[in-house]
Amino acid sequence: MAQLKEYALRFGEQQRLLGILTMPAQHRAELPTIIIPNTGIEHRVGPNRLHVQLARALAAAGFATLRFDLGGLGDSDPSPGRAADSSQDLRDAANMLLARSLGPRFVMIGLCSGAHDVHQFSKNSALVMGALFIDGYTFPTSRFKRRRFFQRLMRLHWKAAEQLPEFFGNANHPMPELLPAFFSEPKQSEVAADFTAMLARGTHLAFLFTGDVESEYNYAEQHFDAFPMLKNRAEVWYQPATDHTLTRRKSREGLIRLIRDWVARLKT
Amino acid sequence: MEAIHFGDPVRPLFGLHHSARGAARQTAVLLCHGWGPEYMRAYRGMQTLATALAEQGFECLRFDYSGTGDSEGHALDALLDYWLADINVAARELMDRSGASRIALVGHRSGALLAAEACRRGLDAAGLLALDAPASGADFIADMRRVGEAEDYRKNRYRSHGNELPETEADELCGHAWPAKLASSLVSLPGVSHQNLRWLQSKDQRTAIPAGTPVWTLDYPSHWHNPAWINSPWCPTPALRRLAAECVTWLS
Repeated sequence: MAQLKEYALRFGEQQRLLGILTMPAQHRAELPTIIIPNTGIEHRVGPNRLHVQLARALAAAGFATLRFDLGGLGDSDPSPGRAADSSQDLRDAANMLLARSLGPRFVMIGLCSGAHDVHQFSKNSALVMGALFIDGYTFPTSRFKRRRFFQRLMRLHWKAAEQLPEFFGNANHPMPELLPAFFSEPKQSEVAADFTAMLARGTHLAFLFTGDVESEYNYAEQHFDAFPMLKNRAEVWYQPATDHTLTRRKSREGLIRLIRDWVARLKT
Repeated sequence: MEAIHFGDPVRPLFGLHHSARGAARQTAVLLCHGWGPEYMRAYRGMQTLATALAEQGFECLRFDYSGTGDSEGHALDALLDYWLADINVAARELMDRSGASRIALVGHRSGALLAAEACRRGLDAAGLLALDAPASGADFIADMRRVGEAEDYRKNRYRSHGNELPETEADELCGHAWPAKLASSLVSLPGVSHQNLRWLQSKDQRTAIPAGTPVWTLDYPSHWHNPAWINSPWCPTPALRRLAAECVTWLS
């Protein structure tokens, strides 16, 4: 990363939060600054070092990028005497960047619980000009349910008697061990209202769903069917052969290119 | 705790320096992380351990090897020799910052193998604490391959036909870069040894520990071999605080 510079920064109340700011060789004030919070319990480097590679790729394309630990994760401390509040942490991150003249527009990128954190912050913040949610909130549609039934039927064959319980029960959900249990999913109507508000503010929205959430999301247009207000106003990518933690380098590289190109389009 | 970049300015390492609470002891502690998913799982635990050690009066430094974590470098360029050099650079950085007269090493899983190898090649360390170290480099790699294959199986089992994950490339393992030169040198690493060795063994680990080594047993399973735990935290805070207190006696 010749010419890129990385700075370790402490910020927030009592300097309790820690992040790494990756600066491009030449910063251009008209470009938004990117903010990437944690994924699950993993610290700021992200699953399989995704956030490091992403931050450096975005900085190489000209975007200052902050990856940081929310309170209580990685090297950040929780707020003393208060419950975890990722929206406050994201606000602290944005305020710190504003104080360094790295604003006033931000693009938030979150994966898994990070997508939920980005959603909760972005729904109320005019600072966010773009938000990308990777395996964020999903809601079933009737088409999803039909496809799900046949997917499970196809998987069931005489050699796989061990799979009978999961066909009839809910045991075929692959995510409980992958997704942290510390978030509660809002109602679909609440999420729809949030999207409507974000779109009304002019926030650019993008969504990516991987094959690890097949039990929640199983066709490309599902998000548009669940949230019709997003049609023609948001990007939705479905990558069924990619997994939730981007364990394949080609998947990570493809995702990084996709994000870099999307962010580059936002500036225009 | 101070976040720092140090070492070669062209290829700086990222580290976190924990200052001792009160008067610093003569021995400072360098914590050597493990690799890949084990590094990710244990990151917060290692931070907690370093904090607890600092509260006991030890100056501590944690750091990421080049090409890993927040340190500079591409993961595919990683070499065993680079990582051993990184341990030496970090040890010097810790000595310079702390003013300590000697250092001890704490190595987590494969980090213990690396720490022991650095000592074999000349690093002067007053002691080495191995946290659930594997029996050897070959054993560690075999563990990682089993975990990676089991994780792939688990993920593919729930996918529709045609949506299976692509095969792992030859130079990646458990989602992390695994260059051939690194693999061929790590596989030959022998088990952990040191003239002042301590060992922390989780209750589900069965590694053969060198005879005569004092062992502290952790009353919790660590599940290093279970892919279902690949994204779960490592060790409860109270156990790490007790471990830090044990280190006071050991290193005094």
